[in-house]
Amino acid sequence: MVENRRWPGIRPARKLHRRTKLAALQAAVSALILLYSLLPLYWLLRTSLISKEDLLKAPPALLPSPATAEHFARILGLDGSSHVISANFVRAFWNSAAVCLGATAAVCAIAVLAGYVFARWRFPGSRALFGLLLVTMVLPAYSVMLPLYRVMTALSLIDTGLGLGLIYVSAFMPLAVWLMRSFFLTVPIELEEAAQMDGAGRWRQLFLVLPLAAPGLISAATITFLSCWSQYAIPLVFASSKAQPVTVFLSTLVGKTSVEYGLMAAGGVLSILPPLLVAVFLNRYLVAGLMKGAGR
Amino acid sequence: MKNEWQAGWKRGIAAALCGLMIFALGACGSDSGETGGTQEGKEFAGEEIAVLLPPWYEEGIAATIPEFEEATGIKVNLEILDWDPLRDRIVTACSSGKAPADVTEFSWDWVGNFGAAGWYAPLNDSLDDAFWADSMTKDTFKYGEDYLAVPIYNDFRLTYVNKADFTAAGIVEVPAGADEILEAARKIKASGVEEYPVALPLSAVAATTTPWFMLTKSYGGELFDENYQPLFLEKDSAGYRAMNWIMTGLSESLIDPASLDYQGMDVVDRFKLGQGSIDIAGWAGNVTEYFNSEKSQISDSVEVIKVPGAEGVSRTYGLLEGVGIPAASEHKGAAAEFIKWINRPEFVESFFVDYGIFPSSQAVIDKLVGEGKIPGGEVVSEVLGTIEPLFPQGAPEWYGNWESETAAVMNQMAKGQLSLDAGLAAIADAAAKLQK
Amino acid sequence: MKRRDNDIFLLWLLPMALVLLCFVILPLLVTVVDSLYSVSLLNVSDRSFAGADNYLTVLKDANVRTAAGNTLFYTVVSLTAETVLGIAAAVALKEKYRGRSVILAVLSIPWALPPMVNSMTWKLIFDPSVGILNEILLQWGVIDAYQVWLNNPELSKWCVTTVHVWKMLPFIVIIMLARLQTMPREIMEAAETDGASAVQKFRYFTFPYLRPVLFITLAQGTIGAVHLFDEPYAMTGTALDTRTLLIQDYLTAFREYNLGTGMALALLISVSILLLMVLYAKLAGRQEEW
Repeated sequence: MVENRRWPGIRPARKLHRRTKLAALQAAVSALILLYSLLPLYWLLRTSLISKEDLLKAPPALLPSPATAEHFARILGLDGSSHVISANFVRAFWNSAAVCLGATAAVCAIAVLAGYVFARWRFPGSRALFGLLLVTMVLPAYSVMLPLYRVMTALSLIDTGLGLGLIYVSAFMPLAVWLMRSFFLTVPIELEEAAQMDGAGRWRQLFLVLPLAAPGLISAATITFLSCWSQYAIPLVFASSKAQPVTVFLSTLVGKTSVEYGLMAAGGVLSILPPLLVAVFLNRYLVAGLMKGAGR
Repeated sequence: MKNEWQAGWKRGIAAALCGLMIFALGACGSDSGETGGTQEGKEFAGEEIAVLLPPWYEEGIAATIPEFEEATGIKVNLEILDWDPLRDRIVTACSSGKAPADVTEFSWDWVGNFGAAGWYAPLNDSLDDAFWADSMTKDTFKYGEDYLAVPIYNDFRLTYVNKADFTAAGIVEVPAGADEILEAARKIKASGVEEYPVALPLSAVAATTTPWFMLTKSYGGELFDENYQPLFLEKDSAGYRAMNWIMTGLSESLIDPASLDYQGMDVVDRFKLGQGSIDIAGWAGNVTEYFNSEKSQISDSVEVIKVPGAEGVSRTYGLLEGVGIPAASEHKGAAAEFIKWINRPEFVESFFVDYGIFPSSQAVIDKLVGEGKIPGGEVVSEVLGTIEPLFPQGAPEWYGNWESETAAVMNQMAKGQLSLDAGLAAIADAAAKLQK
Repeated sequence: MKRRDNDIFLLWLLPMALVLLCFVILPLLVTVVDSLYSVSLLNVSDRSFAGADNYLTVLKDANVRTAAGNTLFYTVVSLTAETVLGIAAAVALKEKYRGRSVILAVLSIPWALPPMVNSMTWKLIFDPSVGILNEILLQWGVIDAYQVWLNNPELSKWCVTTVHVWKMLPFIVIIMLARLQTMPREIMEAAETDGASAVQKFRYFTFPYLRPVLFITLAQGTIGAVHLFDEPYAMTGTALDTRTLLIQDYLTAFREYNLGTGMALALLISVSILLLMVLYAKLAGRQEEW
């Protein structure tokens, strides 16, 4: 305990008072954060569960009672109604899943290799190359979008999962490389040196060290996956039809007619489930990754 | 060590949940796409085509698809997009050399641009001569020697009124003049019968421009002269009066402020529910929607009238829609079969009677009028005589772009960001800029 | 031995370099070149040299100016809100407590979700007839009648900004929190024993410690705000009072069919961002990481 020179006698009570004040502040901030994140999502959920008639009634009901699964049934095609919507929704969901997982895997592979090199080897031009990488993170996708559009057209990759995935890889690779490099830098080089003396090649050394940098890999994977899943403007141009991800599909629901709120909301709820699960269950890695870029 | 186990366990759960969900959705989504039937006479059996259409076709087309699949063995994947995103989708796909679908919507104002770009396949040989002879509006879709689309929707505009509202406000006869009907709207609002009597869209979409174009014609004028110079800047011009009509209606709260969010379909949906008394730029096809007691709550009191205009004048214009096959489609034969299917007289008739898509086949129209199957038939027949092209001097190739700009400006005017004069000047500037 | 080892390294760099070259460098060069040509989307091979015409068209276009003004608004307001609220939240969350990791997980949710879905959700909240915002404000007596939010030109940009900040704030808070957590305890304790007030503690200790990460938060916040597309497009479409530069770029290319001008605009946007980055770097006195 630190000696308090001004009010020596009051020391214990003051510290207790401060601690309770702090606890109260923390509780208040925690409550605020819960409301901040969850209240809007509750409204989405409620809208997806409320019946069509109740939806248009004003004032808006806070609780969906009775709750109905009709919107979910319709968007998943479970109720036998016209498949126009559900066939497209399910396909869009698959597209999102496949492209995001594929792009994430590719980004991780590239980032592990390149990140390791940047962490372990200083070669002429490495600083410039790394700097170049960072600068590209700053460019808006649109500054390369239009020529990319023509390249993709020429290669017949427009409206394909592969084409879209490649664009995602190019967009999210720099951050992943940065992250892997940061994580590899925290691993002491002794392990690899020992292995090298035992005659291990570079591949062996990498795989030796990889488990230690695994949290970094998961961070990079998490951030990349979330970023891919969130994309809208790019697939709007590059994958607007057959390879359409779930975000583009939802926007077609939004534009159609303003009274289909329930359907929109059901689609919204389903399409945020993967990122929600990832963000909550892999949160440690997500936060660690974000902090790595800042916690110097 | 312990942390890694916990982390691994959590990772496992997350992955399993995601996987489970994806799997479940996959199971849900796989429809029984069994289109059985024999193979005879079905040269395209087994092929799959994509059809891309705007919302007003959804019900009718979705209803006929099972029959079509049965009869031809061709599987149809229907996609519906609202008007502006639909056009964007077609543009982005075609410009990259890909087909947005095998059969798509084709609007009258796309002929110039899309024809020049070669994005759509000529359909001259896909349908027989008798068909082309019967089609009233086929020349709209002609580019050079090629017909780029088959007319499907003869969407001209007329006005619908909810007579009950007029009667309740003490108005016996629905006025035929545009200024007078606005006055009637004021009375309806004042009497408390309907808070927002005039129904039209005002969001930044193409549908917003239609009432203005239509009222301009009906006030007896044109938008542009033969040299495409704007005629709507003069205060006594038809275009000026038409825009004034709309903006006055909004400023006097005769139009719902929520219209700033509305697209075309919203107006239709709400009018059917009884909101609004005057659907000023109503779709011709909606005669069947509005008068159908199963679909609309105003079926007993709705009436059709000629578009209110200047003294003694009533004119309107047509927004012809057709269906076409993109040049990049790989299923042109199957696509042509689909187009033929939806142009059979029986379907064209039911498309109108049940779903409100006004036919462009002269024979079908005559038959329907003769049989009295067009609600408000006499008025509709009269209106048919008042349809004129929006651009008698020929549609300019910059029309589509100008229409978008006009919609954005009208949206701004509706929000009070531009005055009437400033807004019309901006619209004129947009045309000038595009003509350079 | 060593030479062969480093050859492997070059091999490992190859995928990254290839992706960079094919998907970033080359297209960027093409953009620069094509921005000097008049190219139409309807007929891409038919190009004519236009020099600086595209740039002049962009700078003279009233819609571009409106979009630029809107984007500036979004950037300034977002950055302010994110910085102020971010610092406040980070300071409040600095001390570890029971359940904080759960709270952090919940906090990160808005950032993790697709902005398109956020926009849809908030559009429902802002809805003039059935949205919850109107009802809550009415109940609390803040307003006396339902208001129009998204289609009210005075409020629309604020609404869009709210949705954007709602998404970005968690990201900013986490970065600042990371920084604060590395702050040595002794400094704060010494300050407390000297009787420093909360305000003084913040001003002389916390804030200066945060300054280096301000570069990152401002940079990320700026990139996010200048690139704004999903939220305004989903909530108000192409309406001019909320239109951003990127939406304008999309319209130039795909509605006006004008590729050359679109590329010129895209380049102007990129250059603006780069200049801002340089400015931030100078202001924050950031040291090079390498």
